[in-house]
Amino acid sequence: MSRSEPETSSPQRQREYADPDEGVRPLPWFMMMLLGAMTMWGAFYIFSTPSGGESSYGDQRTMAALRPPEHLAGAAAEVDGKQIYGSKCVACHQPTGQGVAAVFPPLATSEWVLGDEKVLINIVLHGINGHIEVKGKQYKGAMPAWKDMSDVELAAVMSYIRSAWGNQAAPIKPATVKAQRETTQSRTEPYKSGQELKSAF
Amino acid sequence: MNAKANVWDMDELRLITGAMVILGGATGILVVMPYLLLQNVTPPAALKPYTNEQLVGRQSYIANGCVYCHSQQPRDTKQAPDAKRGWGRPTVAGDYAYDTPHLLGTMRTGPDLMNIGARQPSKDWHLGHLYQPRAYTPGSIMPSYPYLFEVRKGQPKPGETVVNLPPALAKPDEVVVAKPEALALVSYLLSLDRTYPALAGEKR
Amino acid sequence: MDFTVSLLLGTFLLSVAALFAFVWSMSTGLFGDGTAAATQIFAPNELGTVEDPAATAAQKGKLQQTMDADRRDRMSVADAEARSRADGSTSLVVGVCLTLAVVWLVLASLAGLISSIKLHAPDWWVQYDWLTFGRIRPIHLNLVAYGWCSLAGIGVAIWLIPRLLKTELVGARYALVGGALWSIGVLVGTVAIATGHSDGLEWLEFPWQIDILLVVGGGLVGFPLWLTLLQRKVEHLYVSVWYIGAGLLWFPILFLIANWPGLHFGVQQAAMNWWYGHNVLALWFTPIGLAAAYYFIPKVLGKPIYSYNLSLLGFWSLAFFYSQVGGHHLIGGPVPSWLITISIVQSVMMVIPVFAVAVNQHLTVLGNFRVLIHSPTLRFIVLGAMMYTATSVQGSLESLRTVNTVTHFTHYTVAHAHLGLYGFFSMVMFGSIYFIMPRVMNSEWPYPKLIALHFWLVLIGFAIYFIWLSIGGWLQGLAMLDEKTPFIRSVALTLPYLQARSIGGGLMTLGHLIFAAHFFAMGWKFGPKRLGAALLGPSLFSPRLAKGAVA
Repeated sequence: MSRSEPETSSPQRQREYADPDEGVRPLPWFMMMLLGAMTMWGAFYIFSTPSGGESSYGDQRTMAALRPPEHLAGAAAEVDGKQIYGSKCVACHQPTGQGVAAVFPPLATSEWVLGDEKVLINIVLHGINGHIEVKGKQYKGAMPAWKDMSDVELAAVMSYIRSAWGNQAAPIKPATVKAQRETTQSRTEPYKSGQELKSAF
Repeated sequence: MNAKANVWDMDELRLITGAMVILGGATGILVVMPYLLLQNVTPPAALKPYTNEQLVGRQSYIANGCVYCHSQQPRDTKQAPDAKRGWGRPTVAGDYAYDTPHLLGTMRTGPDLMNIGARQPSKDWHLGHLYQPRAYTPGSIMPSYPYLFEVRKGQPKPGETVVNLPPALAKPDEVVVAKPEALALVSYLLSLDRTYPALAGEKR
Repeated sequence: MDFTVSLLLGTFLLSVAALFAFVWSMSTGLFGDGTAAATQIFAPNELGTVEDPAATAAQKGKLQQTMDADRRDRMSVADAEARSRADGSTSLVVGVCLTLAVVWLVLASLAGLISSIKLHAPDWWVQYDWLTFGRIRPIHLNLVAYGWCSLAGIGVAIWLIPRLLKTELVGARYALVGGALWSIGVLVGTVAIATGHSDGLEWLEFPWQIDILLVVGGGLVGFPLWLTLLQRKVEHLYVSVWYIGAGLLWFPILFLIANWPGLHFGVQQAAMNWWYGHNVLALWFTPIGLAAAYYFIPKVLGKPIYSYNLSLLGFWSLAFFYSQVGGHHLIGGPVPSWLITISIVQSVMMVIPVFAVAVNQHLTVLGNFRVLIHSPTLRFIVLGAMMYTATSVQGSLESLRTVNTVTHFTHYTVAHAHLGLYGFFSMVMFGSIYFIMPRVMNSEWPYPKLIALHFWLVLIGFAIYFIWLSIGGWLQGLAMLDEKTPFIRSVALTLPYLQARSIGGGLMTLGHLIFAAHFFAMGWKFGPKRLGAALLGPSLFSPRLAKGAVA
């Protein structure tokens, strides 16, 4: 058995030092200082950090953000149409307002955006699913309905697209959106084409 | 000094005991306490359980590793402008009541998707974007997923979903048909909507 | 001060006090005046045997003659014999584990490189589902973590434990089967991810059914090592044994709780996920990496480790603080504030074990930095130990809310993770393998120049990787925090940095291919039959080193 007669002449093992051991030395003074300082810092951090509150709400929540928006004071004043466009519209209609060829129509200098505000409001409220001609070109895509958004938000984002990329049309008032929302309350389906929209108004 | 002289020297008993007590403490704090505190969280009334198709789509989200680039956890406004980017309000534990496995994510190579269904409710956009992200978001580095679609000549069969694509992406005599996985994935993405108030219906 | 905060503060102070008391109870000469510095803890038979002619059996004559004269007083014949026995009992299983590890390293590097390229070439190789970024990236992670790092760690642990305990490995054949089962688990798990059957949690992607293979395999490795420990022939347990022994207990528990099907839910699962994710580093890779560093640094230098008391403080405070840091991965998330706070505090408290280890190892190396030039083992390991300090300090800073707000969700975190698992752990494993393999094979590395090439390729490659990705990630984080900057800008600005990362990763992969080629050349006895240690650096080194234990 090779185990009872070990290969002590292996040059790899022979040239080694002994297996390591440890010196006995006291902890350096700066380690002691570090221990004390770190523990004090830890206690201070815990003491000074607001960590209470309901566990299920998450890490350091602003309670107002978790409550229904009615509770937000002055929310209406803070609505920024450009910001809404940037979060909800930009993926299809693009930052340039030029859309995507054949699928998502442009908003820049679009007759639908600059024209009758009632038509524009209804497109945004109910969406459109089918062919639409914009600036002489055909598009076939699906615009979702945005009626879950508030009148103030819808008015802000439509006013923004009517003023961006060289567009110049009057802003839309929340009251107008509200009125259109009430008039077309019964509608549950998107419009089927640009044609249908035209004939509706 | 010999090791035997010191009865307090580190031995296997201390090693095992110390190691287990420390691991037990860490597990108690990071695993057991959250378990006890969160096990009775009720799902918010406005949050619907996933449908079967959405669950299939969620599986596809997992299988294709969307979580490695997309988080599902908007932070509070006082920490980061997540809400201002349209990603939604900060989330609470109840928002994840139906989310097992959790998909909170650790990267934002792409945007947060917790509310993508509310922000981007267009099915067409999602299908086209999965087929070729760069046609819809110039400069995107999201992979394209051609294997979730079928490209062929001729007409689609009844019941198939044809993807409406910009002309640069589709040859005139070809149709791009979404496979069931793609449709399920989009259905899951559209279900991601936590825009309801987190505290509605909860006791204050 | 509300109730939660008082509870948190009380728990923190009490547990830290208990920890320090526990460490103090095991310390030796903690408050000595420093004159005790020369004393060392010796195992029986460690010292002086060789000077006693009676103890020298006739058959050891050959050994006596060949042993280097200036080192004779440092190693006994009994010691050498115990070492030969210990090595003989492990050589097969260590050889197999390390070979498998090197195979996984190569595959993992290729998967990593493909992932990296895909981030700046998103339409490259998209037609195959198994190659999509969202699958090849977790394949990379799992091959690195469970293939390369774990198997290399297991190999090193199996080799170290019998040596340090001067005891032959008990049940080597079980460990062999264990290593093989583990590797089969990694293979099947990788196929599962490639075919879209992931469990969906980062670090825990392998389906739980496949995890059973890893649990059984890990058990078959762990039990023999613990049995060896319990039947050991030395009294004193060297610091490396603590780390490995504890790691072998910790990892199976972590892995079992984390993968238990149907146990976890929603946000609780997220907290569990990062308890596991960080503890894989804290309680599995780091202990093995530090065990290797604690062994090889004094071993190669022929010096005792600076201080037993520092080792003790470093070990226990690492276990205590590191095991609670997982929550810092969820700062700002839907998890309880108190959990985040305690994790941040413990992350910062990590400077205690890190300084203890760094001081202990630095003071051991002090005055011997010349050896780094020549010893491949020491080059990799001392560099790795330095990167351990760097990654830990960086991790402490990154866990602070203000810093985390920028770095969370960005490539900065990815760079940091690589500093830990590559800069520290993998470097230490490379160094260890360069020392271990000649003893496993009873032959020398055939091409020392390839070791130097490997070193420089991975060092330069990793420097490019880390520096550029960190800068890119930081800028990405700043862009995301600025609400005026469109999101796509935060993507676009990272492109050059992602490309630089691919270049760095390419160099690292090339280094690994060279390392693997050299490894297999040695295994198949290919190449020149060299004699003597594989030494690097200029040929002007002292003749003493030529005979030294540097490799």
